[in-house]
Amino acid sequence: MIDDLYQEVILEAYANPKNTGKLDSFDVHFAERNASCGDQIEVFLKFDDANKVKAVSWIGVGCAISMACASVLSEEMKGKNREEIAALNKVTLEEMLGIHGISIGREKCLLLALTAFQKAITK
Amino acid sequence: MFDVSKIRQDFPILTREVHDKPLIYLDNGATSQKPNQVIDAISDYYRNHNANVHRGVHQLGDESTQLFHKSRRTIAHFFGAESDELVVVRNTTEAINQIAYSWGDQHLQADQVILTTELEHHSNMVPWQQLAHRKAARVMHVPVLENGLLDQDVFQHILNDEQVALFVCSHVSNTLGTRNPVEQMSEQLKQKHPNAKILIDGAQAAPHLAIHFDHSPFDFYAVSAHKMLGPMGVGALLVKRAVLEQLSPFLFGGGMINEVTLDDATWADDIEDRFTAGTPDVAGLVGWAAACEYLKAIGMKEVEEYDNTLVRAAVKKLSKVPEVQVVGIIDSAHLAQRVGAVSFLYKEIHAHDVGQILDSEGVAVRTGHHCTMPLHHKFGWPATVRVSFQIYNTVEELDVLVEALEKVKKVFRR
Repeated sequence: MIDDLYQEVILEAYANPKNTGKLDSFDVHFAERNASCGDQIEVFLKFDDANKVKAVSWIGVGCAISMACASVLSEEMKGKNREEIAALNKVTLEEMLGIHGISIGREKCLLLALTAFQKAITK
Repeated sequence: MFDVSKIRQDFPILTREVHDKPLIYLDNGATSQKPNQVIDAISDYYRNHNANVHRGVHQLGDESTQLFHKSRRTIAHFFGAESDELVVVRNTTEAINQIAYSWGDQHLQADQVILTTELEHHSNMVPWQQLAHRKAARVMHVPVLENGLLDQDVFQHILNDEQVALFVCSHVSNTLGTRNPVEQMSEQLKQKHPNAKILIDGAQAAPHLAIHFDHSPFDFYAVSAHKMLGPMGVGALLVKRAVLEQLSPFLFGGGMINEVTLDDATWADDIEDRFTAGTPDVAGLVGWAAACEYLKAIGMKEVEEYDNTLVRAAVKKLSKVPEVQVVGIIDSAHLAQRVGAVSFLYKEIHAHDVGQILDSEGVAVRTGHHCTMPLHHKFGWPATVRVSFQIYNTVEELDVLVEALEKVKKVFRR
């Protein structure tokens, strides 16, 4: 189970996170925290004329799961429109990261970045 | 003679496995496991004596009421208090809120100071923020130093300069395990501010230390059963008799009244009844009394000494792990002031990941901010790993913990 959780996709994304930092120019941003463990993330999105994500970035502090998920998810964001972002869920995240059935205790870690991105586009 | 192997036989859950490994339960600060004596007492109550208290004129009603009173007495005496000084609540959090409403709303004046500390659990922080908002009062905090101790100089300055009406402090910090010198601080406070009231959060002290409430300078003392081998859902607010009359009920309903008309009501003279609105958790109280008897039979002096053995062993063993930084009291001269818990940071690896990997080795710990966000912010800790003890833990289990920490390195540096 532990090998399933901490496999290469997550360890690699955690060690070398992509799209970190704050965009110079962005259309929406949102700061989200996981109140139960203190993990924090702020996400930034810029859309093109076709309403698709042109640029994405994030800044965060947290565990390997939440940070790896933020990195992988930020890559997935590129080119997506608001409806496609809104349609993402726990199952799609698990598929992206190759995790099978995250435990209840780590679900919020997995969902932190997605929650931030989804709140950013709806606020 | 303290015999941990004999004690372990009383706790059925300790025989189970987690992820095919023997369970090593080091999350006792969150809740303790329960011995057969407690489980059986609760089971016996429901199997043989269950009925509502103070109501039915029938045999079971009498038995249940008698068990309720007997359990209250046992619990109150365990803490060095009398039965009529014990208000039954759900947990420490409710006890603290009870004081905020029952005493604070009645007696606190605008601009007066509620004095607390930076290392409190959120449950001993948020109720006072809210009370201060309601009453236009002020909350001030005794700082915590990096060595885990409260800054006594600042405490003295506040006593000299401010109108302190209420002092609220944890007896033992849930995150750092610091045993705060609450007796000394309370004496000093009473000298300067004789009318000030003192509430001590005893949630993390009661499982490990003997409490002598009637010989203490405290006005109020709050505890939970479930951290001291008893069941979840029941706790107590101990209140000195002289102060009880100053409290107003804050939960209203059946059981706590003297007379009710369509427009108004008067409160029961009996303190025990006045603060018990609705049906109490009788089985919970019966189980808690069994836990008190269990601890009493071992002896709280022995319990305290054994806890300190585990604390010292944990600090020593964890300090030898190069990636680990133990937070709070670590120097052996002050380790007698550390009770129940040892928290640490693991270099470059988040506490959640450490906890998850420890779990895969059967070791249960707490990770996160442990409901002490301001404390974690102050020292820049994103999250910590906490190991916390009970009488059934062993020094050998700490060796397994240290071995399990090796796996953290393997997973993240492979």
